[in-house]
Amino acid sequence: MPGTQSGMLSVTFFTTTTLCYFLAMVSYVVHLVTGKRPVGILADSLAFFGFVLHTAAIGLRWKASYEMGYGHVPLSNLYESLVFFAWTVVLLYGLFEVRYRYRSVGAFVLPVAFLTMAFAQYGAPLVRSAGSLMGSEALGNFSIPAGIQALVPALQSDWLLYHVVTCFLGYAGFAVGAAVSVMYLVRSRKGTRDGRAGGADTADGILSLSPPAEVLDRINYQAILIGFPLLTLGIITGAVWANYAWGSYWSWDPKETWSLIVWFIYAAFLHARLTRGWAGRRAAILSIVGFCATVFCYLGVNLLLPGLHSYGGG
Amino acid sequence: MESGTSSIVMTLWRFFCSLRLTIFLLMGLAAVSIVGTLIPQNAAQEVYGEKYGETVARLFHLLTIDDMYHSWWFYLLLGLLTVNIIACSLRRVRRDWRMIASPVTVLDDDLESSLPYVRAWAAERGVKEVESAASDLLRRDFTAPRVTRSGEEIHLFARKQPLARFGVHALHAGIVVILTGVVIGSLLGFTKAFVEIEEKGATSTAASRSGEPIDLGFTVRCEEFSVSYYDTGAPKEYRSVLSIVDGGKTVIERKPVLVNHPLTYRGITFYQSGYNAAAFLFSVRDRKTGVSTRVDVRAGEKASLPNGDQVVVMDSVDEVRGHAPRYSGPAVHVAVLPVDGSPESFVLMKNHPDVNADRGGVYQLSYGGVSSWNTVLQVARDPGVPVVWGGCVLLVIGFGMTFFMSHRRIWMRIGKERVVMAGCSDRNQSAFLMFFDDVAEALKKASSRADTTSKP
Repeated sequence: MPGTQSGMLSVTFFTTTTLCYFLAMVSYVVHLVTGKRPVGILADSLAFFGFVLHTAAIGLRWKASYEMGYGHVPLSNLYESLVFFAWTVVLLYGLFEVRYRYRSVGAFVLPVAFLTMAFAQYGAPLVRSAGSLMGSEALGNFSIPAGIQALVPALQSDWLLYHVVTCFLGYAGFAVGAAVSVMYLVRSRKGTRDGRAGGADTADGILSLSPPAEVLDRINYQAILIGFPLLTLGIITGAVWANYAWGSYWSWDPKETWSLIVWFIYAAFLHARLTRGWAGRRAAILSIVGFCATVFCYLGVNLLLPGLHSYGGG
Repeated sequence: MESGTSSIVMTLWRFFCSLRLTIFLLMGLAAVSIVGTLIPQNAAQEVYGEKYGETVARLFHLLTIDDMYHSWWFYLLLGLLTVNIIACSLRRVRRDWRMIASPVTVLDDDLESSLPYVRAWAAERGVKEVESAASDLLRRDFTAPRVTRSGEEIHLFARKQPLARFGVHALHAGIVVILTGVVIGSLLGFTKAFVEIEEKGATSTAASRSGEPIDLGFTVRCEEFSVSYYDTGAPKEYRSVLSIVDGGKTVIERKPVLVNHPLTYRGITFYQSGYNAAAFLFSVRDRKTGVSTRVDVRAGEKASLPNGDQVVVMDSVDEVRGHAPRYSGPAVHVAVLPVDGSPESFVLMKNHPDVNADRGGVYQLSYGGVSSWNTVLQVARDPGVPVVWGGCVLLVIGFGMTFFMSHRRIWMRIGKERVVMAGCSDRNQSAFLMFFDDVAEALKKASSRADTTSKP
């Protein structure tokens, strides 16, 4: 546990944030199902309050790191990166809500933020038991220490900030895209069950407040349009840093390779968009596939493949 | 005959211009890249044999799957993608250039029907009056329009940020430049070579990954090396102080090289990569006489004690805590080989001289720490790096242009009876549409009778 007072306070804030996101998530779902406006406003307020606490907690953790004499951005291990990822997802969701004015989308995006925060705080035992079931030693010893640790020499660089921030903003774009895509698929399935094609503007009842299918499709595209250049920047800053630290801008390390795989998938998504027939359902599926690859790049690589990146090493 | 070759060329051209090829190549590269992260790369041939069986291992070797990111077929995919990008860009650059250099400034029926946003209303004032009101409005809220007269009608054309069309070309060019830099680096440079220099030592050759010597063309000298730790025992900093001697002259003197802080001279870069102990310091006390002497034991070598006994260091750690949690600091595992008697081995710790003080026979050994370090530096020369960075800059600029700029165009046809306004934007449609409707509304007002506003 982070030793100083700010460190302790930041842990309390993180726990409260997780609770806020959970309540916001539930409220968004209730809002989506019942269509009650006050519930939507409650959901927004909870998410906003959680986000403010979340921001303060990251700031406090940063401060605590200075008080402990390490003095580095809170982006240096798995715990800190998960917390930051959840933050970027909520941030991006907020921007989209302000722009598109559809509250109900939160029912699909907030779960991502909540699950990420919950995983950071309580997920390690789950992975360990999964690991012992699979007989994997790496997973069996998995932990997500919440303590503020000193930086090993390889991470002592300003590029840490640029690299991690750009990567995770990119990931957040893909997360929002995938969440909206799930909503699209749920909605269009409902539409077909009702015996109407496509699901455009046909869903009523349970998803009464869901935005029209075209809007979901557009948000998906927009989110990826934001995520893709940021991922590109993340890969470039990573390459610049690797060139300083390891003497080579690219070494086909599994993490590097997987980030490139993610890049290929979304590049294909954006180009497919220019040809006919790749909007709507197929775009939604590709967006979800892309996000699965992103999650594997972020967590799977460290848990299952050997490499140079420190996240997830515990 | 000639038409036959030209039709082949045309078919090839169409093939390489196709967006389907792009999508296929991107998905293909993603798929094969996954394979390379699941099958270990660059391992010894026996490893594959053990893991997958002899036949599969031979197949892997044949198809270079054991080093697939450098295989001919991976390069082929990248090469095809490059040709695809260049072909698509060439085709589009021509079109975009024409659109920007000689824009269509007259709004005829064909153009009108091809544009997404069209508004029309009845003209209630003279052509001239409407034209000057519209020009003023566009100049104020958009940009100054070009005016074309054709017969009775007047056409206006105004545009903003036409260069936005070239953002996508800049970023595609960036990718081609990056790939060019990669090729330059792999043809003319080397990476992952290393030098190992003891403190106060020097070398002018590096060893390549395969162990071949590489002549540096100058001498690099390690003045000193140090390693420091956090209180927890985790490493904090490795620091080599290097000097470079070229042609008998010291050109770089005592430059510290740390992880993340490399040193470059004549295109060759040295990166702090690792270190190991070159020699260990021991204090050796004769148990009978009480006389102490200082003995330096070099790594991997036997050192003689005054009476002819020998001592050798078998293993060493900088921080023993990981092995023995109750202790801290540097430790060595030594073996003492007496002239007569049987050899014995034991652990000595710098911070805990009492531990095993009774071992070692005639002499009491105490460990004083590492007396000399070897620094291990990675060495690379990659003339492609500046080209790669240039490509990255182009890529980022291209993304910026496509993201923050949009090519917006507005046309107007002002006739005696009707005013038609049309427009389009290459991105950010909703914002453009809002702006377009505002302008249309204002123009509609301006082109209706002036007295409409002063009605009682």
